[in-house]
Amino acid sequence: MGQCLRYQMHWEDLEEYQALTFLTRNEILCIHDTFLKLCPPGKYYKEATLTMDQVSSLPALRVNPFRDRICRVFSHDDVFSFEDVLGMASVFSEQACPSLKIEYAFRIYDFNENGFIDEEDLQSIILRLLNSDDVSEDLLIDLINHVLSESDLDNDNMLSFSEFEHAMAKSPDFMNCFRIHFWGF
Amino acid sequence: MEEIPTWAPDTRDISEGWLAPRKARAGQSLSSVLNELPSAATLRYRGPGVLPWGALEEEEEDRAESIQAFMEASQNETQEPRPSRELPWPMQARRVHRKRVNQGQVTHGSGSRAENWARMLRRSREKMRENWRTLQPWSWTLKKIGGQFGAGTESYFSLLRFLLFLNVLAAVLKACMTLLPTWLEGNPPGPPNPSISSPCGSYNPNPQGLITFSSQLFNLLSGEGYLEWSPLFYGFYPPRPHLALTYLCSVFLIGLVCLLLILHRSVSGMKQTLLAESGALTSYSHRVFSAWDFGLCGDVHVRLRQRNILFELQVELEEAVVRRQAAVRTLGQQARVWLVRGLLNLLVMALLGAAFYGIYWATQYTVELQEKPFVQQTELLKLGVDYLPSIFISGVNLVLPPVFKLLAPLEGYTRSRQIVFILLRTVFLRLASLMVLLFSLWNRITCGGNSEAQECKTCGYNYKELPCWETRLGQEMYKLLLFDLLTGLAVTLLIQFPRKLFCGHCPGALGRLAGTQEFQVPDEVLGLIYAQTVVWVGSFFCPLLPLLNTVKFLLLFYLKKLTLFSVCSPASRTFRASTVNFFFPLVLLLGLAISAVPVLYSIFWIPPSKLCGPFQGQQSIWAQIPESISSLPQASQNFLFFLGTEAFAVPLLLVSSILMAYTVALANSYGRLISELKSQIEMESQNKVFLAQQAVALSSPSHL
Repeated sequence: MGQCLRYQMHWEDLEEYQALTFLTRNEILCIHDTFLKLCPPGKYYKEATLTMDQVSSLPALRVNPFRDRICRVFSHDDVFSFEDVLGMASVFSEQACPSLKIEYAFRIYDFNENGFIDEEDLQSIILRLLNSDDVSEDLLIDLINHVLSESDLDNDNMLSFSEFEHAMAKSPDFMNCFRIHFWGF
Repeated sequence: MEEIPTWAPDTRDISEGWLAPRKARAGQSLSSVLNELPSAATLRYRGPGVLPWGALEEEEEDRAESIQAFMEASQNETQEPRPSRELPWPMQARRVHRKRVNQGQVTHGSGSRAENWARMLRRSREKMRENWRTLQPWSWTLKKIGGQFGAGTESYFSLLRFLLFLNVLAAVLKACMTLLPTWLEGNPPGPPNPSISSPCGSYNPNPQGLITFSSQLFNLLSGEGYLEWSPLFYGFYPPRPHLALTYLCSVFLIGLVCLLLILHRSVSGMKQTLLAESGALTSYSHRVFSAWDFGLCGDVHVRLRQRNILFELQVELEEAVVRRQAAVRTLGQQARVWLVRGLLNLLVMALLGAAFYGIYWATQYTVELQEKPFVQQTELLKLGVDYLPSIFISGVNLVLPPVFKLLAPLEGYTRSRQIVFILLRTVFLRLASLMVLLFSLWNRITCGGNSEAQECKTCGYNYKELPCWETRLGQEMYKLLLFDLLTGLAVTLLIQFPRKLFCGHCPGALGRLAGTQEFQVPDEVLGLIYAQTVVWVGSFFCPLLPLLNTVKFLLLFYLKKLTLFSVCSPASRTFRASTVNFFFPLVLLLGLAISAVPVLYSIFWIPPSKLCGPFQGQQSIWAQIPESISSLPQASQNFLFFLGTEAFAVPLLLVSSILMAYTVALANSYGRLISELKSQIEMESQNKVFLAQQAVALSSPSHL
């Protein structure tokens, strides 16, 4: 288990973070520890920032095919402050509520950031999942058509947020999949 | 008219028929109209002080206006402001929101007292749940396993931890209700004197003469010798009335506690799976969006995981093709397919029948073999003969499931249905083989149910062969438990580790094929459930069995964990956690129900042994209860007797049936409501699109 030894966090801050996120006390302290290890020394943790590359190379995210999207969605101005990292960990924690996870899943999967998951996004998702160059065109088109015919209720060849929410709310595995443990590695 | 910049880059031409005239025209485009709808508000708004998502160069006033509009909209939710941490905003925005909510509570006189109480209750419940979660052991190990091997394997270990908890609880209850009362009223007496003869024969559990060390060891493994008259088995407990009562009640209490805990655990899993509409309808969206387990973090297994996802998606598409083919089959083809299925089912039933007959025969043959003198002289042979039923059951359970796996693809069902059939057959095999063993034992104890038979006439049970039949039953269950543990150890040490070591050095594809072993989640889970069913059957006749099972499961946990991390690679077919959460608790409940049958039958119908145990000399084991009730005050007696009459049972049955019918009707109506709402959503979306198109058409310059 990750040993979280140094906590320079004030008690009030810890309480506030516990109230504002879904993380437990131990998880917040461990993330704080990891953050301090990565950020340049000597800076107060509330002012330090991490680059997107640093966050992408965290062990929890390193092998994730969607890590660049995750970093883009949760960062502000292309950097991560401590509170951004906490926010990200909160969404991916076990205790987070489904509506929050679905909201952020939609943002992550919307590659071209037009507010809808359209065919282009679906194509990118599937290619990222399979990560191989020998995926046949037919398989891709077949899959995209199946997904859209199942979940696209208003037949506009795109998934709006409510359609995505409707599909994912019925998925028994979604909550189990959309979990990351950022701490203790 | 001022052009409002659109977000969608104009080079995109997927939804061509859609987007109203683009670049050259002024006026609003369809997507910009759609994006200003209230339903897209959360998507755009990302918190105070932050640029709305997708707005590249919005005007200052526009941004302020949109923020203003959103804040007004959100201030209208006066009922129950959402907890700040559920809002999809940056931390600073949530902080502001929380301050505002707290201030609002203070200024509005903090609402009514009921609301305060409700809020405090909710907060304390959340805190309790968080503390409970940190109390559970091995949570870190489980997360690590889930990260490397997937959620299916993690569910196995989670189930093992749950069963361990059940066994600990059962062991504690048993200790309090059987061991404590035994020693509270003075030391229990020793074994009966073999020279005293009674109409029901004599019982001599202790061995005669000098006992060698090897025979001590074999006695330990088979539960005979010095173990036979020990707190381990039923026969040891003296016939004291209070002890008899608590002994009987402990069984019912443990059964009830286990039932409630299993139901509690399975409710959440079942709720999710039952809520999902028929899997065939939405499986693609689920497979694409939930395919990647975000918790995975091992570099080594990522490639494998991606290959698996491709494999699964291909399988899904193949299944769609199979379903389409099945829909257009001609009559001749249908007949042929059904003929093949009928033949295969007959074959499966023949195999199962042969297996069950083999187990029955083994139990009968054991008795014969034990009579033979040369068996009695050689200790090792005697042990082997003792274990013959267990060996047979384990052999059958090892050989037949792979046969089922081979036969299943021939039936022409889709892949997922094949898996269900294989699982059902394996479950049936495991539980029924246990039942066959118990049936053959019953045959011997009650002379085939014939109470007028020669051997069973005097005492109601076969007193010559089995002077203390409950201890004998307990011994059989004890042997099954031990043999299961030994088999597990043997398979791990003698097959899995050597295979990994040797085949790891073998060159080429064959070596790799033979060397990669996977953790077979369904087989392992069924093994767990089987072991637990054995304990449930045996805990009445062998009170320390739950304690032994606790030790066994503890050993099993560490053994499986070691095997997993040293030997296994991630499964090629990911077993979804939802299936594990839905199917296996059901099977566990089935095991509990099945294990209740022999225990209840023995309690109600088989006369207890006259020479051993706390129920000596009584008509039946259950007769203890009416006796104890008659010593209670009259009022409670009347009440308890009333509970047993038809006047209570029939109305209870009626009310339960009505409640069940009502719940089923409610569930049906909810299902219908969901499909109606879904078609309403479709209609409304079409309306929305139509209106937006009209708006765009009206606002385009050609109409002005």
